[in-house]
Amino acid sequence: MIEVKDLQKTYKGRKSKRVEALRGVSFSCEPGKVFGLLGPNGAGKTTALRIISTALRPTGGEGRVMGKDIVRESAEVRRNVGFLSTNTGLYGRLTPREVLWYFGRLFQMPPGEIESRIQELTTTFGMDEFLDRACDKLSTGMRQKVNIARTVLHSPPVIVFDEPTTGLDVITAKSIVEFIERCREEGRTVIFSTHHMTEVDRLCDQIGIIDSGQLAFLGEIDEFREKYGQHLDEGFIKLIEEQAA
Amino acid sequence: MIRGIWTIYRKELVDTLRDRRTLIFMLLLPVLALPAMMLGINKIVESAVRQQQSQVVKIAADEESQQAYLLLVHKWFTDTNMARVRASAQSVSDLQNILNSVESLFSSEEQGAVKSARSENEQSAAAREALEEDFPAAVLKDPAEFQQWVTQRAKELREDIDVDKTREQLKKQNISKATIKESLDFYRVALKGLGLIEFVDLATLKEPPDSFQPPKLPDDVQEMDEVLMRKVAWGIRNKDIAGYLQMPPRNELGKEPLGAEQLTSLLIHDSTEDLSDEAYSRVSRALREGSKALALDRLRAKDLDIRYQNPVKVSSEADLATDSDIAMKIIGGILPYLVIAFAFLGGMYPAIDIGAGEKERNTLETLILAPATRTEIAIGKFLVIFTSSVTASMLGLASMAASFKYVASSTLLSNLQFQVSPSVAVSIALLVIPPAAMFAGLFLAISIYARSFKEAQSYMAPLQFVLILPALAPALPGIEMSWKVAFIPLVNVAMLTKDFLKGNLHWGYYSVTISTCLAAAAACVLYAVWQFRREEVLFRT
Repeated sequence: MIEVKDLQKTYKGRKSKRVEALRGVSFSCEPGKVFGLLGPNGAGKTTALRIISTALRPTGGEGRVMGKDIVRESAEVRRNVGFLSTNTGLYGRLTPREVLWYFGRLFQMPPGEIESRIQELTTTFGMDEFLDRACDKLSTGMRQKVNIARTVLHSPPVIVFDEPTTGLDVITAKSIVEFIERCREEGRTVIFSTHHMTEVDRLCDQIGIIDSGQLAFLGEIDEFREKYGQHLDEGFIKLIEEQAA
Repeated sequence: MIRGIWTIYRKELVDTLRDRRTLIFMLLLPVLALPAMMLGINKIVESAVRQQQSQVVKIAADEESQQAYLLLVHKWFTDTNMARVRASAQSVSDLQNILNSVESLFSSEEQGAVKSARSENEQSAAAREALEEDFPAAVLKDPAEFQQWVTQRAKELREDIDVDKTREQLKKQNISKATIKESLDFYRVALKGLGLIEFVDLATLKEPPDSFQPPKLPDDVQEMDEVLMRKVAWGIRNKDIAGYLQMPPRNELGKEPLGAEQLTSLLIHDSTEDLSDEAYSRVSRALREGSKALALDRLRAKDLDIRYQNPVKVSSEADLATDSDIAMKIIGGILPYLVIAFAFLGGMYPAIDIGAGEKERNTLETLILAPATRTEIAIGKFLVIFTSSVTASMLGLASMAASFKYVASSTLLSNLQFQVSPSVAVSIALLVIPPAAMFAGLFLAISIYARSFKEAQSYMAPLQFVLILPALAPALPGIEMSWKVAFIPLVNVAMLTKDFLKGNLHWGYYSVTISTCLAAAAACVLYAVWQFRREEVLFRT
């Protein structure tokens, strides 16, 4: 469960200019549902996701993940969140097994549990072949599998995806989409940002569209279609143009 | 907290040890660079010195100057202890000692081994024969014979001259220092000051072009014909000759000095040219020794001895510094620099890799989203850099000790005999820790601030000069360890290392140095932790 209320984030830009990245964003996301956070580049999607996953501290408003405050109980929040983006890298000189062990220890999992989870995830994602190969020798698809395994290693109830399929080939992107679907089936709370409306259409139960740090739309896909037309891409452009006007 | 730090430390260490660049700077450079450097420098210097010392130098001089120079060198030769002892030797063993001392100068180790294997009688008989062969009676009386003999000997032996090594061998044979000095002086001056000098007639000097302007001689030097001066300067510049010698007339040397007037010789050379400088040192030494012998001769003629000329003798043997102390003084100038430089290099690459490198590889975000606190992450990473830095320094120290023991055995460093007590070694090793901690904290802060590996490198490159400069303090004159210095981080470590090597263990300075450096290190670590808590630093891309 994710709840954010009046979330604000201001930081110093160039020449000490104050930049308002988020201006009072509020939404919530239920377990077993996928929440899509959409918006043009620079709208504040990544900032919002980073705040939810406690990488950044909000300058205003509040947020709770699984009932824990994202500022005061950030360590607890982190235990409950798995985070993945397309850019997320791996330690090239370590093997996938070593990476998973490392994160397992960081999440203070008992060694027996780490080992059994690694076995389980290896089977799930078909990583047997490259589990003990250095990460920098892996293909993009293999790396993404390792990254997904790392994200869910500690069985987080909440998963945050920041543009997880951007720049990936069709097969790898498909595996991510399937994984998000599986998370939903497992009853996890999923929030993800994307530019691909086909993914939104296939995965999202609810969407929030951010523009210039503010929520321009919040609701279910059907509501969006009713308001802005059946074609999601065109509806999205229409909404952004309305905002600009 | 400790569990989180340990997890991060362990992972970063494994990751670091798999990085080729880090391994080079942490292990290979300290372990191999020093011995390789010493071996290389030794070989080059040794070969250059040997080549220069055994090279015949050409000196331009007129016939009269050549004769006068020869007279002085011969005078000195006939006046050495060696020649006098030879003339009035009381026993075969005296002669044998001297002969052996001189012969061993030029003997290879194999020949030496054959000699020592002979019986005492055989050695005595061989000594007598070799002595006669070595010093034909004529060379004591006739300068021309002497010149011919010395030139011949120089040609035969010039490749084998290794004076420093021989001095050590002679010391072991319990031969008196005075005899060793005389023997070595003789061979240095007689062979190099005469045998390895070729006089060139002034008529053979080439005419310089009209545009050539010779440098002006200093005002206090006797005047010289302008045309000749141009030829000499041109000859030295073109390396046709190594120098020019002008001596007082030969017959003047034999006369009693008149009034206060002193005869003067003129030796023109160019100290920036190696061979010309070598010529200067050979000729000037020969002139000094010859002049001394001449003066002694005159004193004897008046039934006076050396005490008349030199009423006070300054004994250089009364130096309180042992060979080890002298060696330590030299090593103390280099060691702190190397230790600090290795600590710097050993820490730099891991720091860049686990700070800016982590940003560049996009792994930092996932790390800070793990339950470990930023402080745990910063300290875990700091400890890896610190480990690498300390390891590099310790290996540098060990490698330096091994290099001096096993590699440095030739001309350059053969006289550096030293011993370091275990307590001094441990104290110096402990001194490595605070600078390593300082570097580790500072590097981590810089590295995490940088956007990329390249940016971090560009910040640290100039830092290299700033941080390593204090390590040069011991090599600068006039800087001594004091309470004030003890409060200056890095300078205090460098100065204290030097003092320790000299055996001055001042525990007050030691504790202040350690405390000051640890305080500075703590500040650097806190700075690094603070950087890790700043969003604008972590997400600065």
